[in-house]
Amino acid sequence: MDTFDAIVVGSGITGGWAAKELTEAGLKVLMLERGPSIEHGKDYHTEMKRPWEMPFRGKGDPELYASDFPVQRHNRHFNEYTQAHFCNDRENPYSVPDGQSFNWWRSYNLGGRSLTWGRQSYRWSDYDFGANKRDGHGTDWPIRYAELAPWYDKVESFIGVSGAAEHLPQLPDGQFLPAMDMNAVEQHARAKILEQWPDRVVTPGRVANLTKPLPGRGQCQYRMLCARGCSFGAYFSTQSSTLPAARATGNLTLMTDSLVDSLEYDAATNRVSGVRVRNIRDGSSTVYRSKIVFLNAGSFNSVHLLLRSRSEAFPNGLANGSGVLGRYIMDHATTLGAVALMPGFEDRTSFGNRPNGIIVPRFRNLDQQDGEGFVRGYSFQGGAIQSNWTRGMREPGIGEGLKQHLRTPGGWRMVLVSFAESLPRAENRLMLDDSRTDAFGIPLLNIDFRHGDNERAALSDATAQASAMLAAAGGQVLFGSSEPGVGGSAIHEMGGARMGYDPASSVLNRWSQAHDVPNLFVTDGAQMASSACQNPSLTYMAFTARACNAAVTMLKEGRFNIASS
Amino acid sequence: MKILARQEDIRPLERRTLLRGGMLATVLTISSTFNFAQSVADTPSLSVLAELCDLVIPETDTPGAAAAGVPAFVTVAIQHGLEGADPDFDYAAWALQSLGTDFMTLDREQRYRRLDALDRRALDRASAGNDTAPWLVVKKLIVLGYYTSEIGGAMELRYVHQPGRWDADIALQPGDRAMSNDWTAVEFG
Repeated sequence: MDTFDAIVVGSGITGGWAAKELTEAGLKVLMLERGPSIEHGKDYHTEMKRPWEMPFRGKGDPELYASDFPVQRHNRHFNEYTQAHFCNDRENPYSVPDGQSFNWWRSYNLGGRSLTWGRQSYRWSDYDFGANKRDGHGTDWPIRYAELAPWYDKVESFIGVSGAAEHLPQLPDGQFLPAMDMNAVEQHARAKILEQWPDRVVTPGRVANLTKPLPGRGQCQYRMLCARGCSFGAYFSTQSSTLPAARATGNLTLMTDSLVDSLEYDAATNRVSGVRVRNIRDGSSTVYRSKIVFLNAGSFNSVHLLLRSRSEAFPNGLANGSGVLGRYIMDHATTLGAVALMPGFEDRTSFGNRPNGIIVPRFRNLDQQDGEGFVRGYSFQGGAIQSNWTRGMREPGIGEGLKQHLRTPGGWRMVLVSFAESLPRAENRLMLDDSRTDAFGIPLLNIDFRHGDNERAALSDATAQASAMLAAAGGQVLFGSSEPGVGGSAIHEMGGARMGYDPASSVLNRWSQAHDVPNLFVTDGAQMASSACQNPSLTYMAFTARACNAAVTMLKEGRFNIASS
Repeated sequence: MKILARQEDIRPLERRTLLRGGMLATVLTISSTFNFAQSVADTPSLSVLAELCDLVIPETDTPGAAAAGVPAFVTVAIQHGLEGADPDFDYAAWALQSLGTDFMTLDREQRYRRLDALDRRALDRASAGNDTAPWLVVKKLIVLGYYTSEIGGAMELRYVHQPGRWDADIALQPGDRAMSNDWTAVEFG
């Protein structure tokens, strides 16, 4: 069978959601994944490995990493245990303009980056959806918080998000499982910082790990080995959550090792008429057909696919009547805002590995424009950490004294990592690099991205405020930076097919549906018209569930019926 | 053995086996995923490295770095460039040059004093320089190798693969051992 009601391109965080929602609505769905299958549980080969069972003690082989993973190796979650869950850079090249760099961290396997994501799950507020309209950067979002709120409810209830309600208008509360408690230092910092700044709240991260079991999924075991894969199903991934739901309907066909070469467009009907799929293993090519197509390949890969799906009607990329396809890409500007020694807690400790930290939600430029030299905001993520044996790698001392010293936990430090909102700017863009092709003959994606002055000014303030807050909490600040990491370092790359009111200046309408091609939906990060300063995945999921509902309604209304066929 | 009361991840029989001798052989068997023993057999500088390992982390009421197989790990780690090691650099020869060519003929206490002096120079920002830089690599690898070995990670310290719960704030009791797999601490602490 090569005809379906819907084809979903990609099996990651949003692809899994699209497959679940569409199959549960009764549609016959084909989900395509370019990488290999990783079955829940049985393919998590390193989950139970101890460091001494690994050839390089978990650090991995530097020679292999230099040749095959020169970009991925810098991802915080990439290591010897998790390397099979990241894409091979040598086999999957991309290009950047001379003198630039971009950390494109990717997982080309079933489940995509849902296996390795940081699991931080935040709602956006109308400070975010109204930002473009308020200050004129980018184009206005055709949606506000109230429309998305029920979809956030739905997504949170299904995936399981642990968090504390704080009643903050800039970071709306959700359907939370019990929060993961803060340690002694974090509790102290919360109290001291609130004392001085009532609008700055240190609160546990809102994280898609289960503090109570959900149907078919066990609760967190506090191993913090998430990115290896968790056979308890205790964090949200495609494998643990959406894929079982989609499979249970009997309506899902899943094909792995299946890279989409291009989307075929039929000008007569103004529809995507076929999805050309290359089998990675044998090189064969097949066209699959469906009434609707959902792109969930990951922001930049969805844009890449549209850019290379060129036709007479759309010579610059499918659904690119506006000419903005590929433009206005964003990330978050992230850096180590401050780290401080936190004396006075030497008699306190914790037990277990909490797969989470603390956050300080945005407090700048809310109702008052109080940020100097920048619009929008930033937030912090971090935590208090008690040092351990690795301090022995950098401190002087040898012999019995060293061994005795490292036997007990050391002093506490607290870290605040800054995440500044990235403004949508036209010059930050994705293009086809027609001068170079990959092993499949596909033109490389060229990523042209630079942080701007607004992001730098925001990070500069973030550094000063992070230091002030940690000092107020009794910390001795050691270090802080205002220099943003290379683009992509937040792993929040987004935009390129932005949502908007006007088909002349945006790619997608308010239903994540292409203005130009009605049976085409893009519901991953590519649709984002602004970036906010909190982690975006939960919002992508809510948008996906909402778009699926809209698409199914349109199907039932016969909106995709083609008179001539 | 009071310290073993918390070794939740090692079964009693394994503990006894580990403690009863034949330690190195046991550990090398455990590390069967990689042939450290073969790599080491080809390395003439092993005796120097082994001595440096045991000077940094000696045997006390738990085995030291040499018994934990750390010399073999350090050798392989250098060959592959782990922690910034230069695979083409002869760290053992450098160590002998820096510590004195008579180093291996000294008694343990004298060796300790020489290495301790080098260590303090290397890790003191005021005196650190190119002449001590290789020691930083070797020391890192020794500490890394020991506390990620079963002896260092699960006998000297605690290793709890599946804590099962999160106790956010508890009192640190005298004698409590650090958890060697406190991953956030290991990465950032």
